[in-house]
Amino acid sequence: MSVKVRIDGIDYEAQEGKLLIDVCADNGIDVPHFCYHPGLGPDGNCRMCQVEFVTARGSRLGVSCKATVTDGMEVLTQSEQAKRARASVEEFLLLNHPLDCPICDKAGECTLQNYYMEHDLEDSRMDFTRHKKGKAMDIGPTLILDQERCVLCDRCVRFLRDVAGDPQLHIASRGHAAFITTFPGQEVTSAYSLNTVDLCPVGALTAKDFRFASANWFMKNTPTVCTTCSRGCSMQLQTRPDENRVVRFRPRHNAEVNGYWSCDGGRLDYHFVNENRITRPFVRTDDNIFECSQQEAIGSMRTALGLTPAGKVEGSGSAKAVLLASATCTLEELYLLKRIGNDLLSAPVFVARHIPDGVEDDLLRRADRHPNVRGAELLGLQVVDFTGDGPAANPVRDALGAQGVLVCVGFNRHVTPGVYAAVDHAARVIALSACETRLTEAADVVIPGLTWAEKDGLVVNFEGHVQRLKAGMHAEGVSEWKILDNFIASLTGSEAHEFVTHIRQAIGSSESAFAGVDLAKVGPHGTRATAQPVG
Amino acid sequence: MKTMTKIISARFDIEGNHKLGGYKSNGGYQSLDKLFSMQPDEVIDEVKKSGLRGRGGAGFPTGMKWSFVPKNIDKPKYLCVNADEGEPGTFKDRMILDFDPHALIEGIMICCYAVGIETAYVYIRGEYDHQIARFSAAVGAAYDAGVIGKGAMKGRNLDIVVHKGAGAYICGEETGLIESLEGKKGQPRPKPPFPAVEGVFGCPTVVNNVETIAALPWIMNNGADAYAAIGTEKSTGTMLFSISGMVERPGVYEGTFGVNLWDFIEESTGGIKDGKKLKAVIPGGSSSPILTAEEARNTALDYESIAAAGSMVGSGAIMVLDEDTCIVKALEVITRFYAHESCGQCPPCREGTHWLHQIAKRIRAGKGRPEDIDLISSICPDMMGRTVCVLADAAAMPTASYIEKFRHEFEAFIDTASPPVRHLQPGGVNPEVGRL
Repeated sequence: MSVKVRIDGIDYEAQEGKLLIDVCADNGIDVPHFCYHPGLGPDGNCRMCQVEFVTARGSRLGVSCKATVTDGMEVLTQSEQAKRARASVEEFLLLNHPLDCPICDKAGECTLQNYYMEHDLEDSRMDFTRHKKGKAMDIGPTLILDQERCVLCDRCVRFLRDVAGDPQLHIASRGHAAFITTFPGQEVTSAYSLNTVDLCPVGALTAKDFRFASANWFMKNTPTVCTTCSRGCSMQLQTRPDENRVVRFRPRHNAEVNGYWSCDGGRLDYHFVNENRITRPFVRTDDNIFECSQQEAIGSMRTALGLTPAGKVEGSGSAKAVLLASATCTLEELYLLKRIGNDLLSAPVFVARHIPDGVEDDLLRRADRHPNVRGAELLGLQVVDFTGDGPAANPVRDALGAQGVLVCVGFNRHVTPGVYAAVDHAARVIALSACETRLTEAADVVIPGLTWAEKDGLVVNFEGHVQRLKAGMHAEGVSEWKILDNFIASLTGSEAHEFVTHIRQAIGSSESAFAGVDLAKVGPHGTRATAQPVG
Repeated sequence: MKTMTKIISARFDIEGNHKLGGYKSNGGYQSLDKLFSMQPDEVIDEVKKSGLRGRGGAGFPTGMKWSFVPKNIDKPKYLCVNADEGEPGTFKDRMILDFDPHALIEGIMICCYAVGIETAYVYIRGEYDHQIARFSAAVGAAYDAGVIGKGAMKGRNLDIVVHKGAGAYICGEETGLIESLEGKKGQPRPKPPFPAVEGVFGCPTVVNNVETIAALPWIMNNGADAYAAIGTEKSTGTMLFSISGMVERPGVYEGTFGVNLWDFIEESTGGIKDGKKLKAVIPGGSSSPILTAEEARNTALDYESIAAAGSMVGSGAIMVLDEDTCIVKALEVITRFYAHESCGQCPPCREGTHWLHQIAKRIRAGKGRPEDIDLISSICPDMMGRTVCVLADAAAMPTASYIEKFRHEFEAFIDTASPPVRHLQPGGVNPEVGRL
């Protein structure tokens, strides 16, 4: 039921029973808070979200995170009384807070700091020695704890206990001596531990991975998707434009997919982006490697496949080709491969699951560690399983025959025995890859591609949710879709596409699974593919 | 006192009353026949009519509290008897547990019958070893005699569980008590939901003080009207007052509401020790604002009058301070207590109580600064009404009142660094009393 709530003199419609703090946020009124988090629910301990409730019996202060809206409710968030109450809470929290902002990872995105600017800006009235508690405590493989910075909002405790199901932190002692700690002799080993760093409103919990990596105001934020498993959590990619490297990868809210959270594995799986990159295309002869240009590489690719450029008459038909894509490839790449295979080469197209299965749990993590298996299925491509030690049956090797040419796309990591068996069997191998692998060591033609951090593309998670990868940084290579599109253009004589949205439009108009879904306008929270997978 | 009515303490002095047989021979368990002949709702109405108010500190009308418990609900309901008795200066519930434990059991039966409860928890302060033993023995005897137990209440069951606290003041707060009872860290819960709706294990729960429950048998026996006739219109009946401090005979005395506060103290305890002069009275436990001698002499002892005087009846712990008592030292002692007992959930309390104590300590040590007095005065309002429970208020209210009413003592301590009270040196140890 919809009710009318008056906030700071303006009437708003709100759903009855909703938390006042949420109603305020929905209407652009930011009520300061530490302990409340929409993913954890209210706790009411920080007292920062106090507002003034105006009732028939006079006005009173109350916390907005615990109040549910009722019809005719009237609140003032900016009255003198409310501001004084919040300023005093801020003062109490700062009494014993260490002044180490200049070396704190949280500085610049610290709630305590922001609210100080908003409410107080006064020098401390306390001139006693500040509390001494634990500094820089190593409390697990991912986390560092600073007890002095802590405001005891209980968010980390509640997250690990209520959301992650790993109650590994708690508040010990009481009163001013209270502190966050682990249980004796134990560490925080939760697979979701780094969410506590995001949740921490101050710099009490910091990530080992990000510690002193960058001040946050130097970072560029790009909304993208985690590609570490088939969940496809919505993420924020944080890069240093001046250094062109990824510094942090953390979740952003998406109610359809991951809520507010992501797993540690996904967050920390970005390091390969900065390592072992191939920067120039090259062609391998018996003993030599020749670096070449992009166009020369595409020419070599064509030659290897026994094809001639568009308009040339000579040539005696193509070699037997097999196209093999990693299930980490984007929907656009898979679609273009499908076109090449079906329309131009009459070559079979396989999509390989080649990353060994991970741990699956009830919260987010999926055993399947490929972001786009569902996308391949929706395109009607055959998915082969190369996650094991090398299957007895290898359809890719079988399809290659004696003189087959293998085109591999997107195997940036995890060239498993199954993949390698096919590579080994092929007469010639063409690889589009961002990183040096066993595959690029064996390939005859290598064209550098991009990793997920640098390219635009769509991925479809296991539930059929289509989301968009966005480039957060630049790299030497060229996006795989562009290489494939150029290749098609060089064969057909058509104009190459300039933007990836053109490919998306083509998918939408030619693939029945995406009929009715505007792939060119996939927003930051993605969209649901309507159709069921073919077959 | 001539007009003194004894309701709660009537049997305290009778030998053997703590045993089932003794209690029965003194008129115990006689209310049950009447109780079981009534409908539960009628019992609640009767208690409402009596005007009985909670004796734990807040003084909330008992019958009304019971009526907040949802009637048709498929969850079990619980009663928590608050015997944590942590308020400094209070020692009345221990007398009931010691000398009239069966009155508490009888009262529990009345409450449980009225509200439809089958399990009652009695949360007893951990230091009360003897009282826990006494009360547990009484519960055992009641079980053996079939007074409580399976089918004891007109076919319905009643179980009484004795739970020992672990010494935290905050576990006397009703929701802190519930958390502790559930096996968690004693930290008050935000209200609403109130315990009557969501209490122990998420079920509707009545939390009442020992004395409140122990008053029920008399009300059932003599009728609500008889109880309401005692005392004043809004403060009905009698209350146990734990009188301590500089009086001739400190102890627990039952008082009728409406009498003059100082007259009651003087008549029951014999007045100030050694003929000294009265300085101040703390009327309702350490959490209540202090009353000056003049205020104490001109105030009636009931909820409304004491509230009008700017303090509260609280748990009925009257502390009498004579002319030799140092208020600065008193402030240091109570702020230390609240800083130590704050659970640490809410910043105003967690940080505020400690800050107050640091300042009070500094003043007492003779290192106070003139601005410290105003600093304390400005911290107190920032702590009041800003937290989950009222512990911050309990610390700030008396602090503010000490400063307001005895500002000259603090000023004298700071200005001259010489104490206004002869036997107390700043930072020193009182040779007569020893270190507090």
